[in-house]
Amino acid sequence: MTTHISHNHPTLKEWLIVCLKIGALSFGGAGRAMLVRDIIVHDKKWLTNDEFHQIYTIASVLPGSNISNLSAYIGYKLLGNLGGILGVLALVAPGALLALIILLFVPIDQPDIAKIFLGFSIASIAIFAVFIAQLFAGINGHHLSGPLPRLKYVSRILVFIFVAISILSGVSFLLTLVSGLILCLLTEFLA
Amino acid sequence: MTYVNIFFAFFKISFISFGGAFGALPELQRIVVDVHHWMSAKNFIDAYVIGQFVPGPNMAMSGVIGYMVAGILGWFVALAGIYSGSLITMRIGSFYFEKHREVQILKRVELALRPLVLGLITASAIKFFVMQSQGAFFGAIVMSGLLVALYVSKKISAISVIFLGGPLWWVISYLSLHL
Repeated sequence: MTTHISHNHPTLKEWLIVCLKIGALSFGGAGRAMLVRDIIVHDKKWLTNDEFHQIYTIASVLPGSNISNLSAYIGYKLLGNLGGILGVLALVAPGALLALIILLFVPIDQPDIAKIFLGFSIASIAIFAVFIAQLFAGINGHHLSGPLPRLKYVSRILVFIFVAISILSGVSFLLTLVSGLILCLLTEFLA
Repeated sequence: MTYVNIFFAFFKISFISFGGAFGALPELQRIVVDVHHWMSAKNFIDAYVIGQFVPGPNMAMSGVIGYMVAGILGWFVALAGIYSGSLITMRIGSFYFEKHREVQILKRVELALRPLVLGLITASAIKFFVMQSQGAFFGAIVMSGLLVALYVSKKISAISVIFLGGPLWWVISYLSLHL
């Protein structure tokens, strides 16, 4: 796994510029992790593809916003505490400031403007639906040792339906989360 | 103290958002609207809409909510709450995994948790879609279908889809009011 150790090493300034860039350019959800990979693995060669995918797995399993988890880990790994903390700050700042500017200067209560912003938001859910469909395909595919046995596949679908219906019908979020976690681990490690 | 409450509300959300923050949005809405009565459901949707529009991690809406509740310091405190959770989790995570490199077992856990994450974000997406398309549900379905078709056939990028959605929705709501 540590085949290509010879990668470049960023200075703090270079790293923060990359974080600012990702924070300012990554619109619309699902593509963001790929933007990070393109810059950090392909352009800058700060990490190998293997390292990136390991970190991505860790960032998406542990709770928290995926993209900030990813930046925090990479920052810590490459540049220590300061790299992680300032990296996340640089990542968050552009969007958070733009949101504040919109809130202060755009009359979002004005009906026509409200409709346009609502349209942006509905469109972003439409994009998100495509991402959800891709994830759904991933429930079955690419298990570590080939395709899933039928029983496991069916039980995963059942867990998915259980969680979705539970949230939609207003059952306590924490209860759903905990029972969902237990069911997922049971189906994976026992079935 | 409001600021402390705001901080911890978002700090907590950070630790229960598996597979990204999107799945925890219904819980955030419950805490902010129903438990603390900081804002109306309509304001929550406004915050969500602005948060979705801006680039970067998709919890920019935390800052918007913080500002609506307690001004500029609220903005800062809410963002600090949600992202310090991420910083702490990953400090521990990176320390552990750089040392032990047990990524194989984690890969299995990641696969195992997919149905949970998928269930959470699907429910969340349905909830927000229904809340936003009030009064013109059919129009929202038609518009989304059209945009998804354009996006999937690679005719336009994700950013263009989002920008196209604004004026398109304006036209659809205008038509549904006047026809």
